[in-house]
Amino acid sequence: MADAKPVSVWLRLRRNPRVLFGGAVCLLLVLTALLAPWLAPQDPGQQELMASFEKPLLFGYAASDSALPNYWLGSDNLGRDVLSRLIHGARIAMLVAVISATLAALLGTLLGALAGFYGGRIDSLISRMVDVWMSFPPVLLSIVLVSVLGTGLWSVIAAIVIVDWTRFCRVVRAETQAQAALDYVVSARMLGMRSWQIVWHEIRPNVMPLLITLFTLEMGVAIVVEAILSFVGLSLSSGAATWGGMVGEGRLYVNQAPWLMVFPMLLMMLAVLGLNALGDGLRREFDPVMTR
Amino acid sequence: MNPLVYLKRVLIAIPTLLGVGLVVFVLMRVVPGDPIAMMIAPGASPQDIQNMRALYGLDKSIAQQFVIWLGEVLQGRFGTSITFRQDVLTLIGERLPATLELGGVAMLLAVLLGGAAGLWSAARDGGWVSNLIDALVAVIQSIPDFLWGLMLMLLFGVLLPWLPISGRLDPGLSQQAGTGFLLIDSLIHARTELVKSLLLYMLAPALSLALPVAAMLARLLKASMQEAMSSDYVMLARLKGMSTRHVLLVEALPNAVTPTLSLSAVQFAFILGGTVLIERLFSYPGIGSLAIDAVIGRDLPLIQAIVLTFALLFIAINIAVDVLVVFLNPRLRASQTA
Amino acid sequence: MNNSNATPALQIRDLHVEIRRADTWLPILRGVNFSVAPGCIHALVGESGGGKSMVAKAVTGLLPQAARISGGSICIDGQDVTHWSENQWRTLRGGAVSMVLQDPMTALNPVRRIGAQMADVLRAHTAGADIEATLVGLLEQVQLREPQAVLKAYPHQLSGGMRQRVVIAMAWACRPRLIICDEPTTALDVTVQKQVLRLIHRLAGEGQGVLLVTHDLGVVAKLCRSLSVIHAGRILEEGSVEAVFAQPQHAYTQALLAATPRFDRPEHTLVQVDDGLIDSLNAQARAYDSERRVSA
Repeated sequence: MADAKPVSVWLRLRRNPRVLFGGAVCLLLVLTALLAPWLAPQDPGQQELMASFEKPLLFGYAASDSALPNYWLGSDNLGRDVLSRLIHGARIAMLVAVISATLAALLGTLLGALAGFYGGRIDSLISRMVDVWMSFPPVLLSIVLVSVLGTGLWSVIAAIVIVDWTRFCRVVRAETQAQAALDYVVSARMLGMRSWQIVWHEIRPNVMPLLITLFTLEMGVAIVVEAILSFVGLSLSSGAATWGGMVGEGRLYVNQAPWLMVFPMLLMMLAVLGLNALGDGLRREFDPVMTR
Repeated sequence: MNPLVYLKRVLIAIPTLLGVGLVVFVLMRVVPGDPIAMMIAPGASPQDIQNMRALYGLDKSIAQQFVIWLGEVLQGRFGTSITFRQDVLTLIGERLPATLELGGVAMLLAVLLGGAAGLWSAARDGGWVSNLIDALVAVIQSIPDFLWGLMLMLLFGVLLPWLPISGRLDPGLSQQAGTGFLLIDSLIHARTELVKSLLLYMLAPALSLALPVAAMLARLLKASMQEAMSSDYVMLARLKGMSTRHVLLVEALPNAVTPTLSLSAVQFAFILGGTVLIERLFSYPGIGSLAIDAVIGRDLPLIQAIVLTFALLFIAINIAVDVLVVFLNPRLRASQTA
Repeated sequence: MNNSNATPALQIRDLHVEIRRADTWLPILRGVNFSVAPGCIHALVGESGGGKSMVAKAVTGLLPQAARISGGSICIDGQDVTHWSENQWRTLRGGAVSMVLQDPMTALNPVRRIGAQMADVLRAHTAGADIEATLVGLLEQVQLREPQAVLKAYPHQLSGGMRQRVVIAMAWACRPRLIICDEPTTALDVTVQKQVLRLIHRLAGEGQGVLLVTHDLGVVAKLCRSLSVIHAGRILEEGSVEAVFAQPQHAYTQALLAATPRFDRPEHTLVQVDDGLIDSLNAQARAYDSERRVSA
C-alpha cells in the first residue's frame, strides 16, 4: 500500500467514541471541580433541620414548604442540599484522583524503570517488594494505612499511592525490560549515551502511551478507594462532602430517602466508567496490537 | 509433575510471609492511638494501665515484640483479641469458613457467567449479539465490586425486595453443627431449607464480587477463542467436514480455556480481598468484616493474624495456579516428568 | 493410471473470484481453467500471492467471508459445487475432497490425541465398525512405526515428519476423489521432504486425483505429471511437466525455471524474475479486468 497520509493525532482521537465519551466525562468532572464554589446553589455544609429529607425537585416532587430554597436533588437528614454536596464532592474526588495518580505514577514508574533497565539485584529487590506488596488485599491495606496515618486528605492520598504504585511498577518494568533488549537501546549504549539519557529519550516515548492509560485507570481507582474509605468512615472529617461519605450516610436512610444513596453512587459510576473508557480508548488508539 | 519445583516455591513463600508480617507489625506499632487507652475504664490508675500493657506485651521494644510474636506464631499461638477478648485463632477459625464459602460461590458464579458470555460471544463473532455482549462486558468490568454491591443492595434490597441483604442466613433457622462450612454441612445432612437460605443470603454479595471478574473472564475467553478459531488445526477440522459446534467445543475451547482458567485462579485471590468490603456492606459475618472492626478498634493481634491469613491464602492460591497451568497443558506436563 | 476418459476428479472452468475491500470488489482469480484427472498429480505453480491459495480455498468451499465466486464453475467428481451452501460442503469435505496443510506443527490440535483427531473424519464420513483397526491400517500405510503408540500420543510428542504423515493419513482416510496438497513439504527438513514426497506419490497411485499447490519447481519435477502456471489469478501456461520444463512457452514460466537451482546444469546461474516482466503481467491482468467490466 502506498504511504498513507499521516492523520493528525487529534483527528483520530476525536473519532474514537470511547475517547469522546471518556473525555467528555473527564472534562465535566474537572470543570465541576474547579468551579464548585460558583456552581453549587447552596453551601454544602449548611444544615437546615426543618428541611430534612426533602425529595428531589428535579424528579417532579413538590417541596414541603414553598419558602424553602430549591433542593434539586433533595436534601439529606440534616437538611443539606444534595446537589451542592455532590458538586463539592466532585472537587474532592478529582483532587484525590489527580494527585494520587500522579504520585503513584511517579513512584511506580521510577522503580519500574530502574528494575527493568538495570536488572540484576536491583530488579530482584524491587520485584520481591512488589510481591510482598501484592500479597496484601488492597482494601485491607488501605484501611490499615489510613488508620495509621489518621484521617485527612493527605492520608487518603498517601494510602492510595502506597497501595497501588505496584500497578505502574509492574507494567513499566516489563515494558522497559522489553525495550532495553531491543537493538536501538544497545546501539545507544554503544554510542556512549548515559543511562538516564537513554531512558528519557529512547525508552520514555515508547512507554508514554501505556502510562497515560494507566493514569486514567488509576484516577478511577483513586475515586473508588476514596469512596470506600469514606464509606468505612476513615476518610476526611465527617463534615466534608465526599461521595463515599454520602453513600455511607445514605445507606442508613435507604428505605425512607433512597435518593441519598442513589445520586452519589450514579455519579461515582459515571466517573469510573468515563475514566476507564478514556483510558481504554487511548490505549486502542496508540497500540492497536494489544488484544486486551 | 516435579515436586521439587513446588517445594522451592513454598520455601520462597516463607520470607514473603515474614515480610508481610514484619510490615504489618511495624505499621501497627506506628499507629497514633493507644489501644490500651481505648479499653481502659476511666479512673484507672497508671499501675493498671501498666499491667494491661504488660499483659499484651506492649511494654517492650518493637524488635523484642516482633521476636516474641514470631516465636508465639510458630507455636501456633496468635494471642488474644483486644476488642473481642477471645483467642485470635479461634476467632478467625469461626469466621474464615464463611468467607471461603462466599469466595467460592462468587468464583463459581464468575466462571459460569463469564464462561458462558465469552463462549456465546465467540460463537456469534461478528454479529450483533457478539457486539452487544462485548459492550455489556466492557461496562460491567469497569465497575468495581464495591459499586456493584451498592447497586445490588439498592436494586434487590430496596427497589425489588427479592433478596436479603444482611447476614448469612435466615435467623429463624437453626445452624448445622459440623465443620463450620455451613454450606457443606447442610448439604451433607440434607437440610434443604438451610441450603436454600444460605445460598439466597449469599447471592447478592457473591454476585457483587463475581460480576467484574466474570467480565474479565468473558473478555479473555473470547479473545482466546478467536485466536484458536483462526488456527490451522481448526481449518483442518473444517476440512475434515466437522460441524461448527464440534469445531467450537471440541477443537477450539480446550485450547482457549487454559489461559482463562489460570486467570480465574488468580482472580480468586482478588475476590477474597474484596470480601473485606462486601462483607461489611452486607453485614456478612466473615473475616472480611472482622478485619474492618479490627482496624478501627486498633486490635493489633487480630489485625496481624488476619493480614497473615490473607497473605497465606494469596500465596497458596498462586502456587495452586502454577500447578494448574502445568496440569492443563500436556506439553508442559511432559517436560516436567522428563 | 491415467484414465483420461473418466470423470476428472476436479474440473475448474473459467473461475472468477473477487474479494471485497473497502467499497469495491477486487478480482483475485481471473478466468482460471484446469482439470485434475483421477490417479494424476497435477501441480498449480506460482509465486506467493499469485492466487494458488485462493484456488485451494475455493475448491474446498472455504473462501473467506469477504470473497465470492463471480463467474465460472467448479466440478468435483462431476458434481457442480460452485454455489453450494456450507451444509452441503460439509458433507463433501473430508469425504470426497480433503486437504494436506502446509505446516504440520500447527495443523494438529495440541490438546487432543492423534487417535481422536483421526477418528473424527472416519466417523463423519464412513460407517465403518472397527475404527481403531482402520486407523492402525492407515498409519501403517503412511509408514509410521508403532501405530498404536502414535494413536495415543499428543502432537508435540511426534517429529515434524511424523506429524505430516499423520496429516496425510487423515487426508487419505476416506479415499477422497480429490486431495489438495498445499505446500506439503515446505515446512519440513530436506531429508524428510523426500520421504514425504515418495509417500504422496505412492498413495496417489491408488486412484485419487491430487492437486499439488506449490512454488517449488523441484517438487513439481519429482512428483507431477502435469502443471498449470498461475500469476495474478490467471493461468499463463499449462501442459505436461516434461514438455513445459523442456520448452517453456511463456516468459513467466521461463523466468521461474531460470530462478530454480538446476543440479543437472552446473553452469546454470540463478536469475531473479525480472521486475519488468512482473509489471507487464500485472498490466495485462488489469487490462483483462477492464475488458471484463466493459463486456459485463
